[in-house]
Amino acid sequence: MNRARTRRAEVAVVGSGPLGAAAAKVLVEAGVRVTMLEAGARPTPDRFAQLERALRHEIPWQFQPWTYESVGDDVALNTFALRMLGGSSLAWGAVTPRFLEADFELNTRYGVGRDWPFSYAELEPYYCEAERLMGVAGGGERPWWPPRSEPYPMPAFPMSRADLFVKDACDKLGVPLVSVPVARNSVPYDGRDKCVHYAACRACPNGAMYASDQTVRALERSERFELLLGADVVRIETDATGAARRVIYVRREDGLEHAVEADKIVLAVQGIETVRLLLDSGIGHGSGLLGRGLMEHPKFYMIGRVNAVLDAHRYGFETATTLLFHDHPKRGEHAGGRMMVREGAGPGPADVAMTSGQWGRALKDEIRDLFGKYVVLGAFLEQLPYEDNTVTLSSTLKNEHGRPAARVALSLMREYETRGYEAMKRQMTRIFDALGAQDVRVLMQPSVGGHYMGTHRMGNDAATSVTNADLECHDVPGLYLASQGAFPTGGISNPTLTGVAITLRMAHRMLRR
Amino acid sequence: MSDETLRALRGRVKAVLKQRLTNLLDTSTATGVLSDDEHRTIYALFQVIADDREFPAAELKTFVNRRTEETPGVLDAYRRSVILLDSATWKTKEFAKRRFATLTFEERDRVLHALFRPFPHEERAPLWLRDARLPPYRLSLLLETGSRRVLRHHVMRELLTWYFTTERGWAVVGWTDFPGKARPE
Repeated sequence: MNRARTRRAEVAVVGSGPLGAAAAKVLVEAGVRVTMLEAGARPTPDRFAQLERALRHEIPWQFQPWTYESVGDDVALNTFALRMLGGSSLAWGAVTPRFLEADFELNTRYGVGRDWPFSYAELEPYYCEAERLMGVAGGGERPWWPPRSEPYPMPAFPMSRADLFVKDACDKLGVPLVSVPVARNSVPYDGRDKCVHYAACRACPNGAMYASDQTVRALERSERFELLLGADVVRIETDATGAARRVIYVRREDGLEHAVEADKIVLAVQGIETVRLLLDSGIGHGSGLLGRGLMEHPKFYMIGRVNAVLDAHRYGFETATTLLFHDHPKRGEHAGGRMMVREGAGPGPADVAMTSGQWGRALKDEIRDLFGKYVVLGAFLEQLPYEDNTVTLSSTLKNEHGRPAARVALSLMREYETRGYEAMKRQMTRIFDALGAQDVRVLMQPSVGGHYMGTHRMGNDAATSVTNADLECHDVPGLYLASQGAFPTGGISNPTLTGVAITLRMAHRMLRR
Repeated sequence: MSDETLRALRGRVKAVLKQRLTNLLDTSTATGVLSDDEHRTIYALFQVIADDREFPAAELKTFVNRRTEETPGVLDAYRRSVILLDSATWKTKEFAKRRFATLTFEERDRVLHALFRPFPHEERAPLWLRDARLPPYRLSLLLETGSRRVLRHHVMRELLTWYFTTERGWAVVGWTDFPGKARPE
């Protein structure tokens, strides 16, 4: 294919999700010239139209779908990995707990998994910076959340009526229910309004929920920043010394290959596409570990009908959790988990209408009878890194550019995770019993959460990791892999905040060199 | 019968059931919009199933037009439903061959009851049915045929699901400040 034009930048950042945006922000503010490449388009400015779609149970965002091959449990890329300016943060849950101190030393403390190449204490200042950047509201109740060097940027959201109802029962059982840090405004912050509970967060119309297109839009005011939309990266090229040098992309506008030549390249395209791109470029797999050890957070829900009327479908997001069952003494034997009270419990009016055989007044009576009378408890479980959970290149499927698609082989629930699941179900059942709930059952079996971790793990030893602790590829100088794929272990905390924190650490250390 | 034959048989039954549970539309049919007459019939149906006599007809028309224009098979589903509703009144002496849209609200409801037997939402179904993954709506989906299946499981379902995501639909459960507003703290 002919190459149309080569641009020049000091740093090329591929991907405009929270991690790519965070890297670009630090670099641009330090005076570096950055070119950002994003495969998708700008989200529509009419965010209320998106909200309406979300409220009507339609998919709010439309983007070029991923082609990929799935073996075992499906990672649901087309649900969780959006290709638009802002990436998956346009449609995320914006739940941003930090990892706990023990999560960084899983192997040392419990003899399973791996240790991270740095401690919680070393990452803590970057956690603070990440929370300021995204705007996190939280309570930080000790001893359940790890120590902090500064308060949250915003106060925590108050618990919903459903949370308080569950909290009463949990208090009696000695299960502390605490607030959940979230990247949405509990008060006006960073020029954005506070949350007014439209309850369809995936299409937050007033910017109360953080999405990284907000950061990128601010960067666009700088002359040191260039944004290329519709730029589908197809290859990374190295120079004669083996250092990363060029990002080759196909512009959707003309279908031609273009290039950005840069001193450093940051790939921030989530843990699956990062691997696919590197394997297809023939770089970064010197250790043979690239693509091995894919982790998820198996999540499951239980539901029970209660004798109360709760504010279901009114709040929009999770506000109460417990960490009691996570860092437990037998973590070496079975998975721990973070239990949460789910918002939007039980069927909403449209859900009832969809599968009821009533109509007219009888249907309305049925809706009133069912609405708001359920509690749903959910949990993220810890999954260990297994070398045979992999991302490789498909030998049968091609993507839209005729390149090999990703082949994702994932087995979500093995012995460690299944034992953790059973233990967590027992704890949830105790809570449902204390609530006097009836008809208690598993609503959703363990499934993926869209948290793709571990595929290019970082570490101090080039023989056992893909990048160093600064996220630079051991065998491709100048190539930085900024995704949750860098995590050596996955913990039970939603990974975006930690992903942004390690990316900020990467960017600051890049500047010092 | 060998294990392999049994597995193959199970696979075939599963595939037939899956098709029966998912395929409602004839996607080879054209897209487009309903005539004004057909819209009147759909509105007459909608008033009864949503139990809302005042819902703006123009708002419904916009929604239906969008669906029939955008998604292959939907126009055909609505057309078949209109024919079914009109023919159902023709077959009943009581309604003296009047078109469905000309019947009173109560008469239209009686036509629907003559066509369909109501069943409860799965949350009210016995646990064993849910465990068997055969909640009432799935059973109904398997048992209904032809235009009745299309009317009940596509058209009525689509109209009701849409209605209960509108402001007037949410008001049924007390959402008076649709789509959102800070709750009183």
